[in-house]
Amino acid sequence: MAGPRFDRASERARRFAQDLIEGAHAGARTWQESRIGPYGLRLGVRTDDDLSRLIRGAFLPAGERPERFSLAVVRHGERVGLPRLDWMGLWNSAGRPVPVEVTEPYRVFCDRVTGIAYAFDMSAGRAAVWIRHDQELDLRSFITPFRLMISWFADTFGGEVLHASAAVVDGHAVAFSGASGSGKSTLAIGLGLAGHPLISDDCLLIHEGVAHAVFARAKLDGAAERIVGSHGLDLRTLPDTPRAKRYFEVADLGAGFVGDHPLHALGFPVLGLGTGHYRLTPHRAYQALGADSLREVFGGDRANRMRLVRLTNRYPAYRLLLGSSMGENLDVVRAALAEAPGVARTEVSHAV
Amino acid sequence: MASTGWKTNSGSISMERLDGETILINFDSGQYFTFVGPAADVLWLVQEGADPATWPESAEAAFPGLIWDDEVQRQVDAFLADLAEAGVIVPADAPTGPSVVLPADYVRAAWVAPSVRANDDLADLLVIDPIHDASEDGWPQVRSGQ
Repeated sequence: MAGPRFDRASERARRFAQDLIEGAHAGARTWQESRIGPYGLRLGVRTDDDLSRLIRGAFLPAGERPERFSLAVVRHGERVGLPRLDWMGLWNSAGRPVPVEVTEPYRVFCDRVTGIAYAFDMSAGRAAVWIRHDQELDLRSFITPFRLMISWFADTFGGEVLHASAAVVDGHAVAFSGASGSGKSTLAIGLGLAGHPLISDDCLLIHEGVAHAVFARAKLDGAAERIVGSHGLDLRTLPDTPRAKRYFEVADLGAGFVGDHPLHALGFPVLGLGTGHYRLTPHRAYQALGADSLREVFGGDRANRMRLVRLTNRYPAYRLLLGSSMGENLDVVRAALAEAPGVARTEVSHAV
Repeated sequence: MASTGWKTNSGSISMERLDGETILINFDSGQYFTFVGPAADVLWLVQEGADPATWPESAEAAFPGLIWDDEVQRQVDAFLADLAEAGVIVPADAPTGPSVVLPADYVRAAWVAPSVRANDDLADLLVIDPIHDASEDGWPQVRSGQ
């Protein structure tokens, strides 16, 4: 790929990233200490309004974690302009991240659909997200715009971000992965409400064998909303986005939320095929995990694939056939865990 | 002593070590490998570019009771030949320099002969680049012409 054109693109890519990151950091006025897995994340915004508070509220507090990253979020009109994009050429028109070979030590992506630009300095841990129009921030899923950045952060310390939920059943954490509508959120949230702590909904970070929560909220579809609503949790709606799923703060679960836990198994839920479970081969597990995680976070580079191989080789994986009863579904998870190596057999019963 | 230097075939492979276990993928062949114990450590010495003349010192400092004799050297040479056969390492000028301390990221038991076991079961999936090779239907469907 090397050559004069490559060198010119590379120089301009680095300047773009540097200008965006430095401009965003200089423009940010309000900072908070948040976290990404085991590390602290300093999160900054310029305008202290409802949308900024929604963004800030999506991240979990840092606690005692050492600071490693800073992320400044800026919106159009906040006097932080987007540096020129003409150097991106084909990558921009194809909607693809610019190869890291071009941008090193930065990573850059401009999402033409949402109008969001991302830049990350891998060596300094400093990053910026630039949002063209507030309404183009996809509040229906809300956290989606930040997945890419979280994934880039995780890459630098060997973590892997999965499109998955997770909960701790009888002391053993299970990650639930599957497409939208597979039941992974309903299962994880339902387990959290039944005293089997939720680790994370929809987005999960795996690092050194530990599953970490990523965001401070859990989204609810119709089935999950009925379960959560019956427990009296405060369900919230994002402003000006009537089609958005409602959500709640995971901290509202109290003891039903735990921020991290050693991972024991992978589960791939599917609804409507009766209840039960069966073991997946590493090949099937890799295919199932990759389908929902590799493209989801614009991962899929060699490191991402390698870490998914490690996950599907290290952890037993099960297809979980779920029904409409949380009690039955808990039994399905327990029955799968009872087969998992290193997990003490648990009496299966309807305990919900 | 090993007479030939080696280096990892970095254009074709990716590897990562965690808790003494190294996962390595050859993206040309789609084969993946899991190395533990002495196999992971010898691969580490290659990756770090350690002078093969210093490998005995590094290994003997890390493995209890190990004496790097001709038999151990034969085991290591056979292992390196298997790695080269699998496209994991390629010949290089033998590096020179100080010895490398093996990482203290697992509890080492007695030395055993390092070995290579290639896994082919994910080859059809691993060779697909999810960004550039996947079709509009999504990974693992491949675009026509790939």
